[in-house]
Amino acid sequence: MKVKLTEREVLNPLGEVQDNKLDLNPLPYDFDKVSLVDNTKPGANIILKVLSKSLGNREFLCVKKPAGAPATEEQIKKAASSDVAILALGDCGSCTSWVVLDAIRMEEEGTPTISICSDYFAPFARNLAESHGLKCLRILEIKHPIAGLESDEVEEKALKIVQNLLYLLQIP
Amino acid sequence: MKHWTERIASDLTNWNVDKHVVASGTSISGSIHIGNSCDVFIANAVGKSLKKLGEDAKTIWIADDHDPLRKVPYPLPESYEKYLGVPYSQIPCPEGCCDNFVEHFEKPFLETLPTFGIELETYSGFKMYHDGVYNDYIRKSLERTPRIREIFNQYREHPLKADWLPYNPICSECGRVNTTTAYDYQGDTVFYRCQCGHEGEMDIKSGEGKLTWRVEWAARWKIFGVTCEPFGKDHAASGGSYDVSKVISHEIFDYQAPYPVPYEWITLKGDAMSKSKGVFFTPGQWLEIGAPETLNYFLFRSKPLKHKDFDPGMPFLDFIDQYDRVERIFYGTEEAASEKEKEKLKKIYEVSQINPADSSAFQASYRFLTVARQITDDPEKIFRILERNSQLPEDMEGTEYGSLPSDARERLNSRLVHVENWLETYAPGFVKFNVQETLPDVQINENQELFLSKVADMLETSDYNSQELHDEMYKILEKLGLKPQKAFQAIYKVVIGKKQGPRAASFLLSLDKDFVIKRFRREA
Amino acid sequence: MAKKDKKKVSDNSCGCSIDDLMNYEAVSYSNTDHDRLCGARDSDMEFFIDPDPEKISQEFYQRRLTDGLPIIPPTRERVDSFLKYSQHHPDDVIAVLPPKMGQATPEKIAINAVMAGCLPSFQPVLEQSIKAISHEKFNLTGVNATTHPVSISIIINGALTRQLGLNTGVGCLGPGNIANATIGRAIRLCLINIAGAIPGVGDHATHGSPAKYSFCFAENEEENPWESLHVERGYNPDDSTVTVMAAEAPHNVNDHRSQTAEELLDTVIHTATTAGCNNSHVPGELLIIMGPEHAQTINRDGWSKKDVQRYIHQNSHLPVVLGDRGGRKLDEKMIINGNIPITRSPQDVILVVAGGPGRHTMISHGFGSGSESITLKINTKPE
Repeated sequence: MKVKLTEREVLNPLGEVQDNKLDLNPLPYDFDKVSLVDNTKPGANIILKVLSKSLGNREFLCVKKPAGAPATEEQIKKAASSDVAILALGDCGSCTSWVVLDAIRMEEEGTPTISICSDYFAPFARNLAESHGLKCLRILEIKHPIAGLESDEVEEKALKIVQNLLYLLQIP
Repeated sequence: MKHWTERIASDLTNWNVDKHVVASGTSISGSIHIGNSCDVFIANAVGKSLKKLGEDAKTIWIADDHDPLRKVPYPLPESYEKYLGVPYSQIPCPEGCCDNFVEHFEKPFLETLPTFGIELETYSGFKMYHDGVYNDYIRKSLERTPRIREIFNQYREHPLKADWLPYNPICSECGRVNTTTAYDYQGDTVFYRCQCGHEGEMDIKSGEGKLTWRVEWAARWKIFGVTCEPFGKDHAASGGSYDVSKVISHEIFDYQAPYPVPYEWITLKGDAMSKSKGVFFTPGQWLEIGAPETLNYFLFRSKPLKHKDFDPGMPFLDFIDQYDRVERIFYGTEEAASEKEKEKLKKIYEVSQINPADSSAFQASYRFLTVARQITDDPEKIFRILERNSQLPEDMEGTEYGSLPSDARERLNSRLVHVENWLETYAPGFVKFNVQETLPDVQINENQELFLSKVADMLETSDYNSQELHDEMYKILEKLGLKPQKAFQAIYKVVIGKKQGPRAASFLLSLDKDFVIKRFRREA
Repeated sequence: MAKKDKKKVSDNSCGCSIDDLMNYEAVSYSNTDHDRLCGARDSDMEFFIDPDPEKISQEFYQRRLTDGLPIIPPTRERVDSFLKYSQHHPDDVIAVLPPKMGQATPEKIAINAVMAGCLPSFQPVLEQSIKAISHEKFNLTGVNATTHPVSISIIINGALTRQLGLNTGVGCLGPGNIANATIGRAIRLCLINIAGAIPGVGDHATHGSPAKYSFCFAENEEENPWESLHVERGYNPDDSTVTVMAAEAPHNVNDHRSQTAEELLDTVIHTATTAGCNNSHVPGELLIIMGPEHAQTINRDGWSKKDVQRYIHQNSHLPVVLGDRGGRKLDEKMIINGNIPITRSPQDVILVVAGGPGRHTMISHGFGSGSESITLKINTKPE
């Protein structure tokens, strides 16, 4: 007699993900108003200052938002009123998450965004953006770590990414 | 919204200077083509924008004519290889028509500039050295050599030799400047060795030598008070010339480096432009086939770091069509795809204009003229052909050529010249044709003959526009059970003696009606 | 509601039709075993066996589907036994969990629960816990992604405590009780597998935490002199609830000497009011798991729960210079006279009574203003 032993199948514990895609807003050909969105992480304001200086003669709108929690509707609407928004800084898990998710909210309002994240958290930022439907969300990497550094050290790191920002914005 | 040249000017207004100087520079190593004359066009546009904003600004151009010859440019003979290493200013004119090599290649370029509305103050590197303009800078560089060497070494893989000096004399023996190495100096005298074996000394005041490029560039900025300079992207590479010269300028000459505008190269039909290989296209060549505003448009329609390719063949017709469309959008006779696109295109058009006009200029389709011009060279006849083919704007229909306003006639005529040149030099074979004066010896079958004779009858009885004629011809050939290809082949065979030709309906309308009727009836 | 295995063996074993016999090659009696029941099939009997737990644990571990400990293989049978306790359809999406945005369905929850070693009756608690952590105010996005070692504390109240056999007394924070251990573990596995909170990938806690293996207990309502947590939050005493809070691993308050409420609470306050906790720069909730003996001492002094909460809130502050050192900027509005309170209001003091004999209390700092605890009722009527 031939007996067959079949092992019972095990089920897959992984959650399924819904595949939805959003449209990324293209960067403007030329722009006058820029929102600088600061999540109050140490170093964020220095980075935004250095980057804004490199953009020349523009109108800047400073918006503050929480680091570990979503921005309020008001803060999003204010930031989204410009031609382009730059968000800083994602250098830890929760603040990176909220930089990315708030950037997506601004994109949904029609404003193109650029998010600054430390290179350690940038892959996570991109995965998070992808799982929310915006795979190509623009993320500029700055060298980790930023927290714990002196102001001039943060400035130096920020200066190193100015070229990348200008290239992304196609300036001139 | 600002155009990017206006955006640069706007950023420059923030600088704390009394006067803006926008600099451009070209190495006179051969023919100056549209790729390496980008500097000049961009510098001119930025200078103009600055003036418009009320700033005191001027544009300058420095000819790098004191540099050594590195490659023999096309179409010079191999014998010129003996001049490799010799400064351009010392090389004779290859055709004996000019004072020297430099003038030979500079002249055709400089002569076209007024047509483009470009006004420059021109300078010669050779002259600057000989007039002693660089003297103090050479002295300072020699004094600060150790620091300069340190700065250079930061950007180099292999450090410079300990006795390196940032100055290269022209060897008094062999006349070359890139084969000499200076190893010491005393006061204004520099001691050097040359690869030819000669050892000597050179007085820096003589002008017979030059600073090493990255130091010279920084020196020039301070000499002229340059606040903005466009340059090819190879200088813009990280750790490249601009980065190094910026540090030199700041540390050695105590001068803030100018606002950089790096630009991407222009390729010709996909190939990099190369003076030595003869792959280039000059502004002068452009003016033969297009209005100067169109070259401006070519350079300004995209941002400087966007790669541009130029093909003077069939794609040139698409390009001119695009320019004409932008012109129509500017004057409001055509709608753009969106409000944003309209704003952007209007800006680009505005920046491309040399003499701004108030109203829409007369546009005769360049593409259409390539056909019309091959039928006749008489502008009046061509105007009639345009009319018959509904190529004229509504308000011009029914006008006599003679009563057209002078600017419209000028426009048409200059475009005809361009088209003629294009046909002669760049048009591919399949575009060209010759209307046969007499009936050519061709074979067509009975059905085709029947088709032609019916079309002749049709033309005799009424007038048609090109769409109507097209539809009627289709009706006839369908009734005869003739394939369209065969029908139209018959037309081309009897008219131009070829199997293919331009679009049949408008082509026929462009020809003399009697001529067509007779030809189709095989009478003449 | 339960799905069935696909049938692999025909019901009429060896009711082979003449066609089968004619088509099957083996019907050349040249090389057959004469003890076969039927030569037309490749086996005479098929037995289904459970896969080896060690083998599946290794496999799942390699695929990063576990917390590092062995798991029970989630077979269809086992999962179905859990789904019998569910109030929903197996494919209903109860929550979408960040950062991966995975869909938490009763089936997926059950699979992870089987892996954790839960009993089927735990399914409703798990479903409600998942629903609670997906609440906007809980901020699961921040809680999962942060470098802070915050874990999820699960507190059960009501009749369910007895029904499921949760430990409220000695050793309630572990180890030793199957409900306490596996409910917390199942939620962590759901976070790993459904939410994507894999260390280094979706969970960036710098050190992780022992509390991330499991942090679940029930309130000792019998020995609680005051109203229990769920009653405080508006539920009936007979209701069963689950409260989820983003909290660090607990820290001990050892006080064997204090005789009065004030003295004892001062010990608690000084233990809680430390530099280096999230509350010091983003004031928020504070979990206090008070031992029954400590609760007695305070109650004997005539203090109500509200009195306790008020006292703790008013006296828990530390100098700004020690407080403003965290990853997020301190809101200047919170500073009073150069000091920063670690709670925003008395309601931030989450006071529960649990534990056995002994004069100890445990305190657990929260995630600061980045997360609010959520309480949900659990419906336990099985299908």
